[in-house]
Amino acid sequence: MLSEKLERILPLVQKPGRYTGGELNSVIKNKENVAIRYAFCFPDTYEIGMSHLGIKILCSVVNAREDAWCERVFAPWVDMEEKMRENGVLLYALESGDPIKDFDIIGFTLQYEMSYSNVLNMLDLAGLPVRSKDRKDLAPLVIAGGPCVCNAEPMANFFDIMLLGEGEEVTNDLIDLLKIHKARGSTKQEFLLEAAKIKGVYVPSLYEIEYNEDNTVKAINPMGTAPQRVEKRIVSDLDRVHFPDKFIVPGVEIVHDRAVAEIFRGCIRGCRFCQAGYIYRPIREKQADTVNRDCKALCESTGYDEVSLCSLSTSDYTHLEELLNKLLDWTVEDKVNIALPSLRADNFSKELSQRLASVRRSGLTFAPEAGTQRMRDVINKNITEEEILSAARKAFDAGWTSVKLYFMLGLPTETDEDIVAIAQLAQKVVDEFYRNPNKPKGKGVNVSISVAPFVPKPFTPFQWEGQNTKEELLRKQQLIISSLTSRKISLTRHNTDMSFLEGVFARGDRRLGDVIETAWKKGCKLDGWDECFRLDDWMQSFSDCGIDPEFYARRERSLDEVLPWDHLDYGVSKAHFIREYNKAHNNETTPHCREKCAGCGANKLNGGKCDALRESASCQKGQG
Amino acid sequence: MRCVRVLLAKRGRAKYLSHLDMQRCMMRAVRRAGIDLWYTEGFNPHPYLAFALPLPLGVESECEPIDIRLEGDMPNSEVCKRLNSAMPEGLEITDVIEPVNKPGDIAFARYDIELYPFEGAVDKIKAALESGNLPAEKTGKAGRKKVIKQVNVAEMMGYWAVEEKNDSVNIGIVLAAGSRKNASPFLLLDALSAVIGEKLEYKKVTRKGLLLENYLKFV
Repeated sequence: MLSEKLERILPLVQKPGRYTGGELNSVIKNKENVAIRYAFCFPDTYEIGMSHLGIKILCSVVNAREDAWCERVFAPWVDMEEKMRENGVLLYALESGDPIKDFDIIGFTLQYEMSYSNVLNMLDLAGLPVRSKDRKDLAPLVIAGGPCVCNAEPMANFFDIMLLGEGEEVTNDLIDLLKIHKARGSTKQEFLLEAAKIKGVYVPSLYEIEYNEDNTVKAINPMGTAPQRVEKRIVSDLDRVHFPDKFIVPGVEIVHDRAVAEIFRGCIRGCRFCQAGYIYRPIREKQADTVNRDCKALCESTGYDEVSLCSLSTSDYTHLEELLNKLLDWTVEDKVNIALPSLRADNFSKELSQRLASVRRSGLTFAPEAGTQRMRDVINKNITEEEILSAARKAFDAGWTSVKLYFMLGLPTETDEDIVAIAQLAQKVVDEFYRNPNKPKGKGVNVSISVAPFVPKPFTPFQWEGQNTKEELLRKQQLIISSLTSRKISLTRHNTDMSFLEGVFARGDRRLGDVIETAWKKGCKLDGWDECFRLDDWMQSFSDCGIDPEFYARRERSLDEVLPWDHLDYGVSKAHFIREYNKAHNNETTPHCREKCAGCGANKLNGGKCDALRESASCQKGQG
Repeated sequence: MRCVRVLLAKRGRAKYLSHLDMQRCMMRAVRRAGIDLWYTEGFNPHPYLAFALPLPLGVESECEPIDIRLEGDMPNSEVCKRLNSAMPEGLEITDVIEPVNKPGDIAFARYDIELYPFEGAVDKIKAALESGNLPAEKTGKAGRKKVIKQVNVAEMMGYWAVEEKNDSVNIGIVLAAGSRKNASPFLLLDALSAVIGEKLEYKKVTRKGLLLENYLKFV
């Protein structure tokens, strides 16, 4: 139940339903009967966090144990935070309403760099010191996971532990170990030393970083028994991994308010800008029966009328045909809509488009990423203009009248010709619509293009590249606008200042921790929200700390520089990234993993197995 | 296809669900309950589910009528049982009935308002309610534009009673409700606060019942 303090605040804030808990399927346990209390924190608002699949999976993993209770925590919006601070309400977990400072584990998922300041703000709202070294006790242990921990060095001072890779198994390992040490009355340091022995557990405080005079990293030295390189964890068999049969059904509207089932992890494509395409390797698929069972269980337990299939590239799922047949067996009758995000234009078939249209029509999005063939070859998008136009044609033929196209701006080797070609490609898609004899009568077409600044990320072949300046990006945006030739095309631009900061932190090192703390103290938070983002305060914080952000964002690294994330091992070898980097600069493509194994090395994580090639023997041994 | 009227009680933290939240929430509950909904036959088929009178955010209720169209001939008692097994915390179906009145016939709603006590509360509130003059500002529409209208809440009230209980001051009151004239309990509290010169803070506001023009119960 809600405390009286909270009851007096809630009528004064926007969308109070975000702060009450009590949603259908939330898990309530008797706190006297559990050994470990886990606060799973998403460092953004309820609407964003509740849409995230990882939090649903991991809460469910922990709650499947009798000895632990996992609850959810989100960042309060500005108005709620103000009221909480005014009235002395500490950050609490939604299920019990208890302050999270009394929990055993506080786990954050780091999904994007712009949420870093929220982590500090949430720790502070919880009544805890933000720095790991200032939290002396074993509990609460503050940990992090998610894609950003592949280089969360800028956050290294704040977390006790980072979990690399997939969390389903390592979370349990960590809880088991903590239980032992809690009972034994161990110190935090004793526990951390032991935890560092678990595969996938990275304890940042056990690594000392040496810097060169030019500010690049000289060496990363593990202390004591900490491993030289920390290897990420993966789950070997996705058909046997824990997947929730219930989702918490929020009362207030969230961003993705629907059932979600995962179909595979990893990606066969090897797009050179895409971090997700590399850090989730090797490819592992779920069987169609498993996914169908997941979807059905979720729809029954939630009452959702939409189910979405989750992966990096839905149309690359080898059992898609079989799965859709199984799903359509019951979804049509139950009036459940199937959403297929992340479709590729090169294998978007007519049958697929008709299937999709059979229940209800949602939007259709393709990502050519670049305007010219040369540029698409550089980024290894492996998709031709004819394939894009053909996909648009099929979509229009099946009755769609609006298509979204995603592009990036500021890619390595990009010229003005590549940028003008973005507008031209959009125009060609518009032309396809009017050329179609079956186009719906009396309806116009809408092609919306979204252009995001390219941000080089760790663990990609572009990890050594420099990022475009704001001035360059703004000029390029203008160039697209002046190249647009039709009112049927609408353009969405991204905030270039935000991309700049994202770029700084994505490839940052530990010294940036001071900047994050300084900026947070100046009031920076919810930086991913345009209405809250304050570039001036961030720039002032860089200068207060004597750090040049351009060093991180703009600088082209040499291939032999020690990178701040070199002690983290995500399976794909550096040699592979260097090969891909060189090919990119020669406009050469690499075929996708099912055509020919490129020897990225990630299969070593799964005992040499990779679902991209059915027989593991035919997969080359990692070359690096 | 047949239409049933579901009567819903909304208590505790469920009061923070908005009118739109409630529509989504009920739709999903009906689906979970395995009740066969009637769908419109248009291009984009959707079920029919209508709340008789929106409930302001933060108000609890004992009596929210929701009209739903069903397929088949599942008995009302079965509909009620199944729905209750599928409802989230704080929401309870108290009855499922055949609709008699039209939602447009609602004229009044009866509320219980529990306030935090303050010096001389009962007398001050009574005096204000008796004065016949309770000015308040209400956002209304003039065509499509939003405008601020001056209203007198005293002209939108029925019978009332004020009493002191343990740690609270309780107002029981009938207020105009419906599409023609509507006064929310919060509008009344704003007006009372202004007249009394003290910010009235509520512990709990509950809608107790809906009434017709002749003060008979809406069924």
